[in-house]
Amino acid sequence: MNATLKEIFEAVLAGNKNETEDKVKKALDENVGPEEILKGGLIDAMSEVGERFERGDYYVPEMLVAARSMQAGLALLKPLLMEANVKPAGRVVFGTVKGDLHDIGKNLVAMMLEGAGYEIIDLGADVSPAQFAEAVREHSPDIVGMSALLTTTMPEMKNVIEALEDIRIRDRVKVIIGGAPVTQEYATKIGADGFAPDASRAVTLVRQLQ
Amino acid sequence: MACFCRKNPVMAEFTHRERVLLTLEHQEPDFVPFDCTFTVAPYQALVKYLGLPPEPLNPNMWLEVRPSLAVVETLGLDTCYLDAGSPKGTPEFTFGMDQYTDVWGLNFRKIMQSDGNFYYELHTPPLANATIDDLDDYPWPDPKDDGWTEGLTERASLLRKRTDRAIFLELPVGIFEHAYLLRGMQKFLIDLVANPDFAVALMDRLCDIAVGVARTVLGSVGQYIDVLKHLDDTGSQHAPMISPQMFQQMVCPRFKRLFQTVKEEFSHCNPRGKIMTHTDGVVYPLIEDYINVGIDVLNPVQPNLEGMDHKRIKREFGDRLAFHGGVDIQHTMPFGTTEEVAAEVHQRINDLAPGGGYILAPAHNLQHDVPPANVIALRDATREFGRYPLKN
Repeated sequence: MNATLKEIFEAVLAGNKNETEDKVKKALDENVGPEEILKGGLIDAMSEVGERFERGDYYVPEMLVAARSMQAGLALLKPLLMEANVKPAGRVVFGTVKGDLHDIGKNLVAMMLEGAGYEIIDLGADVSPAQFAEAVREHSPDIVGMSALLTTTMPEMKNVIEALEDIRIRDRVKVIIGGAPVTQEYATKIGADGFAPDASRAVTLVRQLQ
Repeated sequence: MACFCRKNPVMAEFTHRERVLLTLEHQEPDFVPFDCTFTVAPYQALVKYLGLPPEPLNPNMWLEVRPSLAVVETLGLDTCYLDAGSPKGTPEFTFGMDQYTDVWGLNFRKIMQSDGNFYYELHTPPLANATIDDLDDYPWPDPKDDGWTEGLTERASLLRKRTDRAIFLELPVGIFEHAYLLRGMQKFLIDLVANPDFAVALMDRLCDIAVGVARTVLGSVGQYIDVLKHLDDTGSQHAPMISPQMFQQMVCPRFKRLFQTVKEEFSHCNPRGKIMTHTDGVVYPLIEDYINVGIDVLNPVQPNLEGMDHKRIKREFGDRLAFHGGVDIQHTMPFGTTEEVAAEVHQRINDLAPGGGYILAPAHNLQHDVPPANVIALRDATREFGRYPLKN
């Protein structure tokens, strides 16, 4: 691997935003292609971050600063990737369901998927079924991801799936869910396509569903 | 319906307070003590279910209500709760208002759920863009303000005269938790790695206030209360929010300072007083440190989490730490049958109650999806399976 790509990899892993930006610029100066920087520098680094998180070596703070560094590097690459017509791995729409404002879990999933090369559309929190359905209609994502922290807002997930069925676009997307009280059993019960217990395993799930 | 009160010698050999204190001192009383905390909707449903008259309620912004003594006695709780006041000038909270800013400057908005229920959620964190220097100018609540203890001694004394339940008092200041509430959770977790001077300065400031309020409040009512409850979430569903190393280096020194103060205050007026800390989620890797900083009781030992195996926790820490909580509210209490609630209670008692050291309670405030029949099942099963000596 190009030595600068390795430096980008290490900078993201260490959560060093400034270093990531510097090394991405350096790699571009060295005529390394933006797609190669994305894959070998940023995506590979975030994949390692995910593994460390699953192993219990990284916790949420380390994951957040790594993701922040990745986002800084990605911001430099985005215009070049568009110019070179590099397509994202997929498109994902996210939201925390209606009545619920808890979003750090959802944000982590969005960051990890962005770090895996996906285009992210984040609807925020307190998102109604109609808003989810409209976003699917507008953006034609591959995946819709929903989050809820409370047992009392979790039923909204079923309402969203029904809203997608009502306007006959349910079969156009895969629906994944997560959040503290959510389980695989619940996902199966409401007709979701998958459940992930954490941000790192959400990336694995999305890749499997595509 | 059985009523578990001191008048019935068959059912009770100890007062409720003694039952709680003995178990927290790692001795087996007559029964595993029973506690239960509520949000407003399931509490109202329970009052009706028990055939008691409707009560005027004053939920706090977490929708939590304190059971009246009528409910405490009818349900057979072994505990009751006392709350400190608030500094003068604290805005008044009225349940149902659309938004509320508390004494910390935390702004809560009412967020509606589809079924008409609601929850108050934090809006813009007031210290989201602050620097260390800004912390000096922030309008912190004054720990010496008379408002914290206004009428408190009288209320505590009256409560002590009226009931023989153990009295719990919540310290209204968290350190780690208030830091992330004030700063924004995502930002504060990033600060811990990328801006540690700020994170530590903020936690030190909160620790100063917590220590001051603890002195003020315990100076007023330390002799009346049995357990001081400290709330400071450090766990999440799958792991602690932060690494054990970060917890030890950055949070524990502040916790230790607070808990040493509490112990000192208790030593003047109430040597049996205990410190309970509340943290949801997986905190197994932090428990040894929690013991080292001086807690007596861990709440809620959230169940059914990988990494929070009750048998293991009891085996490794049960001689030095008591437990409060343990009953699942993500599945069993809201969605389980009464038989499943009973089975859950039986399991928790088997795992956590041998040798004392356990107060059974739901792992958090019951939400509006918990039917009253399950609350009664919880109580009944605690008495059925919680008589000492325990039968396996």
